[in-house]
Amino acid sequence: MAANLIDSLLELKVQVPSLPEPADEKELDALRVKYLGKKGIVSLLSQGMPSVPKEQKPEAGKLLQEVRTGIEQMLERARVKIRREKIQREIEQEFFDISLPGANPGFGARHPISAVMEEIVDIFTGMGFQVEEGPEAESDYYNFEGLNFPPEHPARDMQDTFHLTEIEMLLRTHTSPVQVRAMEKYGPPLSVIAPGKVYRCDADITHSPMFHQIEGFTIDKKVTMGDLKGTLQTFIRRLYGADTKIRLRPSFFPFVEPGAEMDVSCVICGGKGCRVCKHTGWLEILGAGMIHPNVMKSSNIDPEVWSGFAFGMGIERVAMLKYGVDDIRLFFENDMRFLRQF
Amino acid sequence: MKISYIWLGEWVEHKLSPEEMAAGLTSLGLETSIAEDRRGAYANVVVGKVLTVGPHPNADSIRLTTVNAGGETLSIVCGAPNVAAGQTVAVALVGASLPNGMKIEERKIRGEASFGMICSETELGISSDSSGIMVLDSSLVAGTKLSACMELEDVIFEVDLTPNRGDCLGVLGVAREVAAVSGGKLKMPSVAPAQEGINGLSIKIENVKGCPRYTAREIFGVKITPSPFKIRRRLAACGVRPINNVVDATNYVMLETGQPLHAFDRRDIAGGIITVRNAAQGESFTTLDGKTHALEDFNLLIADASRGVALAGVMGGQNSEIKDDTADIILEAAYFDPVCVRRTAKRLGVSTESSYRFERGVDAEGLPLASFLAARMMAQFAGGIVGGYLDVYPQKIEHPPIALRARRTNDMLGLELSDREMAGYLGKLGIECESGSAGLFAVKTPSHRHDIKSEIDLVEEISRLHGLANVPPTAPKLAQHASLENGKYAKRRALNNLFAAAGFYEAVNFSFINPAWRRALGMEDKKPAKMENRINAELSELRTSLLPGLLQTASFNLRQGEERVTVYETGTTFRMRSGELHEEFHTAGVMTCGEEEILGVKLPRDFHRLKGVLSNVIKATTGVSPEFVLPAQGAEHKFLYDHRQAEIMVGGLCIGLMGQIHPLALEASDVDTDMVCFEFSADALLGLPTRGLRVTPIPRLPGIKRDLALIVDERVEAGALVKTILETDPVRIRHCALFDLYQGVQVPEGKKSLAFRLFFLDTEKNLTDGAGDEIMAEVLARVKEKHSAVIRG
Repeated sequence: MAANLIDSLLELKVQVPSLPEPADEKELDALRVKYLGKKGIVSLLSQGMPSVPKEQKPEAGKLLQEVRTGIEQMLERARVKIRREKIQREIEQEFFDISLPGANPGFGARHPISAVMEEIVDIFTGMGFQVEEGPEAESDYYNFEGLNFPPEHPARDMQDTFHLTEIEMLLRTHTSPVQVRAMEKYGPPLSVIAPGKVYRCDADITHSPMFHQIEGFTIDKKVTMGDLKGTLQTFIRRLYGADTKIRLRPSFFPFVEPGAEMDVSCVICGGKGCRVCKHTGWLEILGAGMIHPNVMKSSNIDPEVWSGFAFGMGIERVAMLKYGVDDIRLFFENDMRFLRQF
Repeated sequence: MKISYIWLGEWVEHKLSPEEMAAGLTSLGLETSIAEDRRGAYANVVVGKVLTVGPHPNADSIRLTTVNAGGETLSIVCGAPNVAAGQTVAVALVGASLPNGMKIEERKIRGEASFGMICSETELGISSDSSGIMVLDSSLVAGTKLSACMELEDVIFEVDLTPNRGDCLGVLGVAREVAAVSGGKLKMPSVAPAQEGINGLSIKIENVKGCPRYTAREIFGVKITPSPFKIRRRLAACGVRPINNVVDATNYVMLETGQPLHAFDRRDIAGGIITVRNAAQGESFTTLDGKTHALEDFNLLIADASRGVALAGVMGGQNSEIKDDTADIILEAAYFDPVCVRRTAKRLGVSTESSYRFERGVDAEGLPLASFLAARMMAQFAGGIVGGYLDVYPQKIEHPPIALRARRTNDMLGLELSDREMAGYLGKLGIECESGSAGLFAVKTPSHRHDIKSEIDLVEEISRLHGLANVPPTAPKLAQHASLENGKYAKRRALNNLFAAAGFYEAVNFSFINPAWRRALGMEDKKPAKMENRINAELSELRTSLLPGLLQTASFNLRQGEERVTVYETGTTFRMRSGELHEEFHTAGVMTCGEEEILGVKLPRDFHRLKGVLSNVIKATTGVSPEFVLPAQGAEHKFLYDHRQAEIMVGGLCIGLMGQIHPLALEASDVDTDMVCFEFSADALLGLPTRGLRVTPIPRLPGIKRDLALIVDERVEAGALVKTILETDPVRIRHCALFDLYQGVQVPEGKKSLAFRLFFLDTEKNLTDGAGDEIMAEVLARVKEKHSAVIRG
């Protein structure tokens, strides 16, 4: 009997690895009952333990434990596998509609002019310019005279002005007054970028009575026209990509000299010529130049010691090109069907 | 300004094509484009002789003609009233395509075949005269190409001149720039000596500052007729309407030299004297265009012995204009002060070719040339005899030499030009340089370049001649200023981004509004600044608040059929305070009320939703949660519901308001949907001192969570209950949050149920359930005592 038990256990131990794999939980349960249940095979065999001779008991006990563990491990492996397959099957069979809308109250959006303005400000602050702002209602001095526009000068016709009626003030026609204010307030050296709203008495599909500009300038010792060109070239490459070319043409703004206008190779056609660039391959983007000695003098800066450059550009023009907007009025109508596109 | 390529060629030697010329001028700063290109535009237009003219069988107003155009006799149907046998005319043959886009084909007109067209000046793109066909000189030979016998195949440039280049407001000035581009010589005509003095006429300048130089010339015996073709074509091409041979001569020479001229009928200059004087205050004067002006004492007049005859530099008088029977002429060429002319032109609201040029400055030394050229034209084309000349120039306008430093020039431009190169560039513009010590020039500028006043102007001339394309780009070291960056711009930007993330769309409205929009909201507490708006007179004041504009945005969108509008704006507001204008950045928003439903989950769009957004945005911006407080009695905002409004308090400071818009304010703003709104001072919010945030340690011990449902009178504020609950045990009650509000059948009439989630924590020891029960009991006692609240069973 004792030899029999050991033989039976040994036989069972050999059988365990080749037991049939249960296909589902039911078969698994059946297998468990068959081997490990109260009346299962292992249980039955263990009932023969008392009759095993004393000297063989350790061997029989060890064997019994090995068999039990072997079967338990086999059943656990089978259980994990069955469960995994069951979950996977359910997941595979499920219908799920990802096309239902996202359950989120939804974002709004920044205005395209703000977005473009901030993009441009970021480029310049990244280059080392610091942001400064100024008032939108200005005196004639800061808007014109301090910028070398004498009274009754035809250059004033370039900027048709809104005047306030009860006080001697006007709505600034450009962001350039910030130049004068910053020079007075901080003195040289400094590098400023000044974004903001400006106003001119003009309205059609490319002109709005209110629009946005960014002014930039730097004053230091030995700032050159070459520095202006280098700065603008870097800016344009960051805004429109490394292949974009710039072209400076001499021009006139009373507060800079030498003055220039800058064209960029057309961002639509790449310079080949199209409707947008009127087949010239170039788009006029900004005005620039070396800060006029008279402007420095009116801010008590000695133009013999210091020099600087300044530039200014309209944001709407850049935004119109960037987003393909052909009527400037769309920016200020605030039509939700327009605003939602950004 | 329009300018002719052919005309330019008469004044300067060059070998430039029109394209090269435009590019060259543009690179020098005269932005030039080709406005009209007539090269090859008259390929199939020839001289023809009208042989016969007969009636058209089917129409009274048109005629059948036969024309000899060099080859076979052509039958041409012609509608012009002036066509007649024997005329020499311009014939567009079959196959021609005319400048106005018309293509000539063989076709039937009212049943009669026509092989070409007899052209009017309009059809040839020469002038706006379409009254009849153009009749040519009879000496021209039939079949000759029209472009071979008259000046037609021109290119007209549009030059966009900057206001500093008054010297380029004429062919001569632009020719000087062409000379600088091409290196060619200017072709200056020589001025024949004039006979000094005019019999029976003297000139008196009373205001020498307003008129430093005045010249007059006498021309006798002119016969007023139309000008010859060439003159008329050139005037028309430059946008000036031809009038007659005398007036055309003054305009032609103005377009040529930039010097405005004026011709008086000698008969109308009374008393043998021309006086340049200021008008008397209120003096009445009628200009050529028939308009009568009441003058002011700063307006400069040209007067005879008894009355004004011209508004100096602006426009001639009706009383002395050239008439069909004018025979003797006084030709004026003068230099008027730019500021004086501009003030008069602006004040009277008149801008003429003449005032435009005087405002930008003419060449005081160029008067004799202009006077000579115009007189020569009147002699040539009007049969006049040139008489005497008077030139009053009391004090010569000086152009003192300017010191130019080569080092300074190179430093400014970032170049290393030699002295020689600099002098060479200036020389191309006719500017003489005398070299003093090394690197220092004494520069003498010609009188026509009155815009060059200082060294920097010369630096600019050198830079444009050298070419900005040839300035190498360099990277500057950009100096920072320690006290400059105030950070408000960046903070405002972050605030804006938060509103966008909270579902609001950013709007940008004009800073000026219709006062009616503000009054619709009953906003009278801030005094607005008024402005003059020539584009839209209704938008006449600067906004004191962003809300009137945003309600217009809402109104506009709702009318477009939008159901929901959720917009905000950050921008400047303006107010008058003790006579001064103050600006402040505000942020404001409006939202239509209602519900959003996301897959069955309803999200309200109402006061409390907006309150939640504002709480979150302000907390994220400042680190402090705002409080919303009902305004003191009597201080409520009239455009909001009396009880649905709150002041936004941050750190004890009131920064703005929020609330639901009063139905009457909505009605007055043309909005038919309920709306909630807010507005606060972004400057105030972002200017709050940033308190250093201190972190509370995370408790090591778990706390206890309890829910509490209370039934109270419906008029008890939830906020008051929360306050009472927290005050019961400020140390251990850490949180109290309302999570449900119920009114309905399950609670008695006039009552409501509020459910709170409470969190208790003792940092020293573990709280037992028993301790939790004790706290709850205290809470219940307090809310019962203060608010008559009972626990919901």
